[in-house]
Amino acid sequence: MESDRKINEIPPTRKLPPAPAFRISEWFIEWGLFLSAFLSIGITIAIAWIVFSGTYQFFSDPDVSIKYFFTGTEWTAGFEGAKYSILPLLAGTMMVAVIAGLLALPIGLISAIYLSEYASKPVRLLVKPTLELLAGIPTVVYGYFAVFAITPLLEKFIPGLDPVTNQLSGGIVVAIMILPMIASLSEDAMRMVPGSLREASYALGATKFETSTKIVVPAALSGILASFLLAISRAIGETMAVTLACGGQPKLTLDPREGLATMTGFIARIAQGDVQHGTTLFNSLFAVAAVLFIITLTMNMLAQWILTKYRQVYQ
Amino acid sequence: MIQHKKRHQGNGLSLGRKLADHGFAWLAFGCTFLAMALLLLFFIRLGFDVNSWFKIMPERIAKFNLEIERKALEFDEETKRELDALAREKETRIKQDPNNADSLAIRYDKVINKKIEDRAKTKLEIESNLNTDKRSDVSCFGMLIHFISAGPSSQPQDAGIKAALLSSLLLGAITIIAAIPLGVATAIYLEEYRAQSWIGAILQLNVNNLAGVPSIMYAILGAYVFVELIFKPLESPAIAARNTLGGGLTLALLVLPIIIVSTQEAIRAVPVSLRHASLALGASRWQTIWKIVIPSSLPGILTGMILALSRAMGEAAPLVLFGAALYVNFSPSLFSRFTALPMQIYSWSDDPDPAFHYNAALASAILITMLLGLNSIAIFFRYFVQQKLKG
Repeated sequence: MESDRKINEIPPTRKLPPAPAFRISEWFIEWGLFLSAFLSIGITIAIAWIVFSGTYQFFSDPDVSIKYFFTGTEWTAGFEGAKYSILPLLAGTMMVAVIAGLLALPIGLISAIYLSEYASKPVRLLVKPTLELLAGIPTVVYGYFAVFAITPLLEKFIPGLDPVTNQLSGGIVVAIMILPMIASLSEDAMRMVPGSLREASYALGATKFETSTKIVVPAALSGILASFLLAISRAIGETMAVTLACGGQPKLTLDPREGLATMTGFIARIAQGDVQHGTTLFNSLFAVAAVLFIITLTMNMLAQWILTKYRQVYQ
Repeated sequence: MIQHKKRHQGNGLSLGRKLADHGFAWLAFGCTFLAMALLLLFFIRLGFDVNSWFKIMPERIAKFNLEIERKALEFDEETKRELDALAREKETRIKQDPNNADSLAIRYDKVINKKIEDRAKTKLEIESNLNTDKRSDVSCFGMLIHFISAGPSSQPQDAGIKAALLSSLLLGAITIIAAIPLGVATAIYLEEYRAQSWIGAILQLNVNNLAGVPSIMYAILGAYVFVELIFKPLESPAIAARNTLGGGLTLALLVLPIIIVSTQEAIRAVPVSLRHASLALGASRWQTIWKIVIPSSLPGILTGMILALSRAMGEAAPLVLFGAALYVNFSPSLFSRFTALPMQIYSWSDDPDPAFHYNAALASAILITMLLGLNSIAIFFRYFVQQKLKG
């Protein structure tokens, strides 16, 4: 009886009991696995080290002032008497992210609601893989699409649009790029909401619309917010499409009809040219990368934190 | 979860609520299929551009053929003109200086003979070039074959993707060979050894963050580690500083989180009872993992592998920064310089000559066909094979 009770008491955890006897081969294997797992932490540390040491070198240059970097208005890297201020590049990146967010967040959320609450099983089985296919198209092809399909189309409707590079077409393709991500992740979150909550809502006389928007969406809010953050972080880090669509002119303006260099676009264009290593121009690449790294890392961490902190555990 | 297929509508529903309910249903339907419509639009547009390629390139080829033929003809005329000029000069000089007529004649004959020889040699070269440059096959199939088997060229109609395609395949192979063992090992360590410990939590947080790090960051890492630290000191005629191996390893770091996460999901889906049964039979932990856990999660690992491969082959940003060459006219090997299909598309899209844009369209179509093929296999695995295994 005693032993029976003990077996039943084994919690359904995935933590396994240690192997019966110590074996040297097992020990080696465990350490081998640990080393390869540690490599992933090594990647993070290495990226941070390279980017921040480059940034330190950049700021230790007498021509560069930290104050101007954060408060100035001009980025003229590579020219005589170069001025380095991150704001024009940040404006270019943010404009793409805002346009993409304004388009993709509502559409993605509504698609997720449709897939989770309205769609029948065959429709869902058809739509979800298709959305994933959309996510599998390489970004450089999206860039091609922005330059040769979206810009000519927009030109017909929007006067004053820069016909070669503009922020609007960049924002639109990035929106198309992050849409599947939002829809898929939010839908996963909504599907975790138990059916009993919906049933209770229907029993109180709510319509499907009211149940979806007032019960399911709030219940899955942490997952939805996390998907938004991850998508925006992806939009900020997007490189090839934005480099092609938005061009390489750093300007401080709020006009989406013009083409503004983004942070990623600047890094890509500098790296393409034959810039001497160790020059201020080359080191400015690290400063821009550091800002990009901090922004995306913060957003990702925030998403993780929301997911763990506000995760509703349903039975 | 219970499916609510029937619409729940009370009797006393006000018009506003009814309208909101119906309206939202249609709006939601529209939004979802907007994405599908965009995908369709995208492919239609690409199809039109590819179609234009098949129309424009024969014209360019014909024009180019005419031009080189004209150049050859002009060359003949030029030769004739130059020889005439020399003959005339000889006569005038002999008339001016009749005393030295013999020696002058010999000198001039030498010059003229050398000229004739030179021109004949150049003529031969031009003719052989004419034979190789001139393209007569303008059928759709022939042009497609040429596009796939030709190297880069400054002439849009002659340019092809051979080097880019081979580079991409090689990069994909290096990426998978490097990333699969590392990714699977990490996932096993996380799930089987450190599932509920603080080390596991830190590793998990780190993997999740790595998945969100922009690809251009990996490029900075790869350019520093593989170019500056490893291959620059080894640089020799046989080993380029920015070589295919370094590029592939950079991409391997980039796709590592994808492989880790999908392997983790697959391992989590293996029932605990299987592990308990194996341990109860006296198997050690590693034997359980090797003989039970890995075989059961193989479809998930394969899915991750295919997704990682398609991501690596479609990614261009890390390679731009890594310094992939744009003009590679040899078959790339492990330690040579390299290019990649997305890089080629990028440089063609950026080219001022609009004929190159159609090349970019065709290369995009080829790349998308390859990647969508890979992704469809992965999705098939995820939705059907895995579902079946779960029972």
